[in-house]
Amino acid sequence: MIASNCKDSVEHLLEYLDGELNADLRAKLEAHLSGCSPCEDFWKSYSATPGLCRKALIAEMPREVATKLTDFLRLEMNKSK
Amino acid sequence: MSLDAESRKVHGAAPLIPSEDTELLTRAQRGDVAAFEGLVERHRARVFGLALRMLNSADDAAEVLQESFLSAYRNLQNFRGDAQFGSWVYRIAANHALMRLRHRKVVNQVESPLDGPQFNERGSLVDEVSDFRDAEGEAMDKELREAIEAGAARLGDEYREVFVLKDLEGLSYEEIAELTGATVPAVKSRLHRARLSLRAAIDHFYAERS
Repeated sequence: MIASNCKDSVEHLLEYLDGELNADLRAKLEAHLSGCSPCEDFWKSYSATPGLCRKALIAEMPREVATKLTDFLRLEMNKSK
Repeated sequence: MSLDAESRKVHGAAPLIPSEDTELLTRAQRGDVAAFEGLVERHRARVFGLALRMLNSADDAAEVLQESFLSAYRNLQNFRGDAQFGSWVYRIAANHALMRLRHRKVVNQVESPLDGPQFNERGSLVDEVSDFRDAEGEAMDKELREAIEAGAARLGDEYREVFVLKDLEGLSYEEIAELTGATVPAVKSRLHRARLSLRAAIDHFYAERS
């Protein structure tokens, strides 16, 4: 069962984004999205979320972490010689 | 450990060319320490980023970074080269991070419920949804970055690990299932819940700003 209401539609957004819904279910979901403005907006914001998170969560390594890593590995590699 | 602006420098983020890894790996497997250090330099930033986002702790991430490259060094002779060195070491790091998360879960785990959309009794959305599509193409706003970081930090470990491995690291559902020991449907369900929660965090940010 899909797209009879907003709740059902939201539950299937991951499969929809992955292109894993079959043609019948996809058509039903798209029919709901096109007739339901809140769900259409929700879908757009849901699909934008991974990209925004990727941009926000780019991790940068502090210089001292790199230095400690080098020192640690040299010590361990020397032990194993 | 603080991540102040001065110390937030990217290290080892040069463009990665797999063939350069292959040459360094061959030399490292023959005992060339400098070649192994070359491999470390090329991949350490991404390994640290993976560990930091999974563990939400810079100190733990630094330890996982060390453990991961030490494991890689000790197992260099077993690496057959049928995968990229980078993929191999990221999987090692993901395993080390997951082991820490499992240990943490045993020691102290209190997870807050995930945020998500609200529906009325007929299953219709009751929230107003902010339009943040345009934010994708814009430079990342500092306050938005902090809102997303806080949203990711609030995710329970089992949700955050799947979100990091899929949406930040680009692993397949099958690879994540193998690493985490969860089924593929469970991985997808957790990813969906994580995205709903992060979407809500971004939505709240824009709603408060407007």
